[in-house]
Amino acid sequence: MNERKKKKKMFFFGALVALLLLAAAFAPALTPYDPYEQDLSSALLPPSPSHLLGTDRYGRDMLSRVIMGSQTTVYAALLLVAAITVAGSMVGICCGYLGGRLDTVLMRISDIFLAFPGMVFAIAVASVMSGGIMNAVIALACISWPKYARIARSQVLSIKNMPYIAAARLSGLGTGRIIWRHIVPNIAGPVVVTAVLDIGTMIMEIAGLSFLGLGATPPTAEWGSMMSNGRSMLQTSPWVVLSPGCAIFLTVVIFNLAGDAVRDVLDPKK
Amino acid sequence: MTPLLDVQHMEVSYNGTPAVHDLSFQMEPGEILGIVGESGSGKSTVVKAAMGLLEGCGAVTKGDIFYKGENVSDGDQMRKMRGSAMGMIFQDTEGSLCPVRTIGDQLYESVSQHEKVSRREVRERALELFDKMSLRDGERILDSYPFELSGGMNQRVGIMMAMILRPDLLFADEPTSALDVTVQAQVVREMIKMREIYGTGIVLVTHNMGVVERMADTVAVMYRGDLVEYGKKEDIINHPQADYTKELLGAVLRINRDQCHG
Amino acid sequence: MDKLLRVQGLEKTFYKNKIPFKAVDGISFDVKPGECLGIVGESGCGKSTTAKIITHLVAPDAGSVLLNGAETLSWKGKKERELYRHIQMVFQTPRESFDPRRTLGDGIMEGMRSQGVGRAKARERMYELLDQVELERTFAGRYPHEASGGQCQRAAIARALAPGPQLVICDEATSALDVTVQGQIMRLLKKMQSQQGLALLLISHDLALVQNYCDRMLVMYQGRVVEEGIPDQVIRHPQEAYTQMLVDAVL
Repeated sequence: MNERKKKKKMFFFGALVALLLLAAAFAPALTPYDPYEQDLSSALLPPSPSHLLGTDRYGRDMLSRVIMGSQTTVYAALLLVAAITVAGSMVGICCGYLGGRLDTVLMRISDIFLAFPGMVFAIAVASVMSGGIMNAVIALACISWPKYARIARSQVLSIKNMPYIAAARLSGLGTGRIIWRHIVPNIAGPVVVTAVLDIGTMIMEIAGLSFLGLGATPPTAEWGSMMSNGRSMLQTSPWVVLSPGCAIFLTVVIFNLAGDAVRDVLDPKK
Repeated sequence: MTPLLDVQHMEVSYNGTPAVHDLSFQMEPGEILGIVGESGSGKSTVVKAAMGLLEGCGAVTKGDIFYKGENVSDGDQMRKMRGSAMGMIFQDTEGSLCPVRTIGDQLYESVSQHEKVSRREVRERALELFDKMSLRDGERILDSYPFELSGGMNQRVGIMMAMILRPDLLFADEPTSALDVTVQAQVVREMIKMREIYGTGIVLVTHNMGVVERMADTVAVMYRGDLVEYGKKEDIINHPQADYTKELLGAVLRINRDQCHG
Repeated sequence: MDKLLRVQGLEKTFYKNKIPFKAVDGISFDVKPGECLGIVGESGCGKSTTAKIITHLVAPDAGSVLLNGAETLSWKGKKERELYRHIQMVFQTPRESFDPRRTLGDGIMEGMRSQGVGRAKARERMYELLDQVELERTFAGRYPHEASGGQCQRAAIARALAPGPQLVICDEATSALDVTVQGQIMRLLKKMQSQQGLALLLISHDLALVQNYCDRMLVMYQGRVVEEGIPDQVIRHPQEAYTQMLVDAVL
């Protein structure tokens, strides 16, 4: 009964996420106007039936730009989260399972990354490597992997001494196989839940870097940089800032609720 | 004389599925009742129901529980009596204590819930109890954190904490199961001593027949939620009637030694 | 040569917050082929650590473990797998000795599959093993939480028997089970002992169990063997004060 409710909830938010991803994937087909075509004669038009979200100062249709921007923002965030989940977990699993000096060294390195003020570090990395959405992703990946390393490590430590791991060794399995067949499936739950919940945060961070001019470079449609470009017009033409803002807000909410739903299903221990 | 605890036709259900059916027993003051059975027999459920500790979906769905003649089936009256009139010893006392506060501190907290006392008074009473249990370094124990004590020591702390309010009825759920045999023997001796000094009635839930043989006056044998046999310990152990009791007693391994043991 | 396993001068010290704790303090004993040897002692006496050293789950500080006359502690990789073909283990917690995300059948077949046995052949052997441990074949498709403790323990015995070992170490293999189930599992182990000439190393805190089922016993206390002999004699006429105390404490 309860189990079914939880699954229903997961499927509902899963469907919303899928819809969002599809919209992002087919963005070019969904835009009513060309998101990059400038038409200064219709600059800064307020929302109207022909331009549902109005236009920006170059006369580009906001709705088209928001739809187009979803591609950059959402896929960059997904790529980022996938990269840090895999890399961080791998480090964490090795540390937790093998222990010893390797564990000490890698964990101290991750401590250093954690001790850095994250955004400042990302800004430094992004500015050294110059702008561009890819560089923003790399910068954020550098500061975000230790979290996953820590989660994976603590999960590994909690199951490493379970009899079934010892039994697998006695069955003659090597370290690699034990990790792949027994450790990874048993720690995947909490790691995946964290990852899904992190997608929202990462969307905001990418948007944040872009807002500062360190992410997507103009004219690329990206929600953060769109907000940044429009911020001087907040009082005169609020739609320029509000439409990408609302898009970020909605997307983050959807991913977070989906993350909660996934957690309810994957972590039955509450 | 009114019985200390009188359970009449009690049925306990989880989510509407009965886990214990039609259970009745009576305990006189100072009596030790041993409830034995294997996992899933419902023996722990009985204790939870009698103490009003059934969680969430569990409830007493039929029958009544009388404590000293007063009907306490609905759990609310029970909650008031918990601690002062009834005490409880868990299988894992260490787990039931707060890990970051000293034993003495937690003891004061639990006593002050029921009476107006000073820390000093509580400490003195605790030391007196430790003395009766022949535990010498009571001072050190009171100033320790649970993890600093051994399993056996924690279990004796559990007995002391349950007994400090001088309850008339004590529930002990597998109190010795996690202990080594030598420590187990000590804990059993101490529980018997508490009964001698304070006349406390004890409901002892265990799967260990040896402990029951040593402590209990009456025995209730449970199997899959049913009371299959109930009576005087000697009768049940020497002349079991129910097939299940016979199987259970037959499965218990005993050591053979030359000298006969009391 | 009538020594299957010879343990000599094992030592192991653990450090907890830099405080040393000598878990095993120079213990030596032999296991003969086909015998059932019991090791009894209270928690912390080093009996489980000894079992883990023999099965390479813990590395000792000193000592040697000889299997059929060959030193095994230096065995690594392929050689270690060779060790596990002769020595297997059954653990205390039946459910937790199987991966919660894999079926019991998978767990039993895992060893054979990793040795390169084909899927069909491994499956066939797995069914044979289930028959031997008197578990219905349908249990192969169940997950640990879908079986009772006793059923999981039977599956664990099947897994241990899979490589055809000469010695099975049972680390408190029946202590987590109900008494009636405990008897069934012990009878099964004894049957395997007599049918397959298997040697058993029974690690237990239960003197009665050892007296009822073992051919020989050791009493351990604080990392040492304090007494050794035939269970009936040791329990009826303990020579050491500690053994006497242990026997007296049994209710």
